[in-house]
Amino acid sequence: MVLDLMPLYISFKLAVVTTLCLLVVGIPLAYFLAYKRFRGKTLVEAVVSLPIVLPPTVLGFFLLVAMGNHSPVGRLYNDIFGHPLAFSFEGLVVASILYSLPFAVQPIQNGFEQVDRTLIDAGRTLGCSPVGVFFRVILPASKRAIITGSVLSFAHTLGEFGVVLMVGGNIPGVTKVASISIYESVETLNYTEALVMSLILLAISFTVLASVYYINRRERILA
Amino acid sequence: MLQVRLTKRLERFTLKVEFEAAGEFIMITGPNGAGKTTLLKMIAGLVRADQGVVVLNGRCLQDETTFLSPESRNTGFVFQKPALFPWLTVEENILFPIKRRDRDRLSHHIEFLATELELTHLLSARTDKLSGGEAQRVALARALVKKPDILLLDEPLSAVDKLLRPKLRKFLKDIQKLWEIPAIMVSHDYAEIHYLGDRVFELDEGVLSERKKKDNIVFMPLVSY
Repeated sequence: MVLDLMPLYISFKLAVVTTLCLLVVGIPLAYFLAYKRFRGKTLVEAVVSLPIVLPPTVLGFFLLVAMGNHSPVGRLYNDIFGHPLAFSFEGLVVASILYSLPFAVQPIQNGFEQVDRTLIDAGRTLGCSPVGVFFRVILPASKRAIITGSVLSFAHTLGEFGVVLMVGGNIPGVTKVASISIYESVETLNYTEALVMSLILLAISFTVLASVYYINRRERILA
Repeated sequence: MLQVRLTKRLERFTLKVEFEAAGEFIMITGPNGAGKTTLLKMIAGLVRADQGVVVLNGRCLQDETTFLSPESRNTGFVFQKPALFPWLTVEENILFPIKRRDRDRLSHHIEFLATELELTHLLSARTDKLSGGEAQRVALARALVKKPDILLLDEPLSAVDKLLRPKLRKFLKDIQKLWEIPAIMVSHDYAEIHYLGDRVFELDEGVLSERKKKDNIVFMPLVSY
């Protein structure tokens, strides 16, 4: 048996890119949800959390429609890049960002909310602007929460199936990720390949989560 | 010279204060929830007053049209708890307010503070290894390192060992006189109030009233806080 490692590579690439994008998007979003009062905040929080309860196929369906050539976004993307957003790696990234958004935002938002107010006040009186306090006080004080959010996003993206299948399909070398590869192996009765791939994903997910718990525990002891 | 005239509506009462201080050590006492910490935070710009004026050495920190942010006021604020940054060492905490390019220029001053506050041997230590007294000394050094224009001290010695308190009191008094800056300190400790206070105020239900100080004895109300 020769195991095709390409789906594993695509899953990894997707998880890394999604996690990085989620840090860029999720940290400011978590900051606004933690510290700012604005109209419709509850609504924004509900929208961010929606992927937790929404069936992946439902989210995938809406995304597929939104990315298709019949939607303004899909048409615009097609006009600029010359290929459709749906059934591409970039489309998978967009879908994964939305699907894993609550897994990044919620832990980080909780972390921000738990930062001692006196530390923030101290930072301000010691010469930091609000932006300075964010980078020099709030971010370092929330390190554990940011690590947790990143790892959960990574692990969640790695195991994604429904949304990926809807938005990306099953194109070898482009959108065929590990979870879809397992599904395909089972469908073609290739249980050995499905088992090996499943064990690899299981080992990775377990290692990643165990590392988070270890880091959090160590940080808690040090604190 | 500090001029303060501030009003702020709080939950149970309206905090209304007016006083001037010229390089003096002002002590403020009063029951819990009287607005003492809020007053310090308003002077520091951490809490916005509903209306009022704060002028420090002729520089308007706030009035009807101006509101300088806390980082522009150059206050030395020491909170009731040390509020040290646990991810930094003692030295990094002390140097927090100083820009890298200014560190060499201020090295004598930093050394002076570390020596006076007996922190030299702790500079590379993690803050979680410090005792309450050590942590508060680090907080003091950090607040003083940029030579503030005013000291705002919110019960800074309440967590400090009683044996160490007289030494820190003397240090605070000496540094305030040396730099000739106004200091406002909240305290419930009568020994502290007697030793440090050039003038003593009582804040109760938002009303600030000055207590007479005669022959080093402050005539305090009979109420015990």
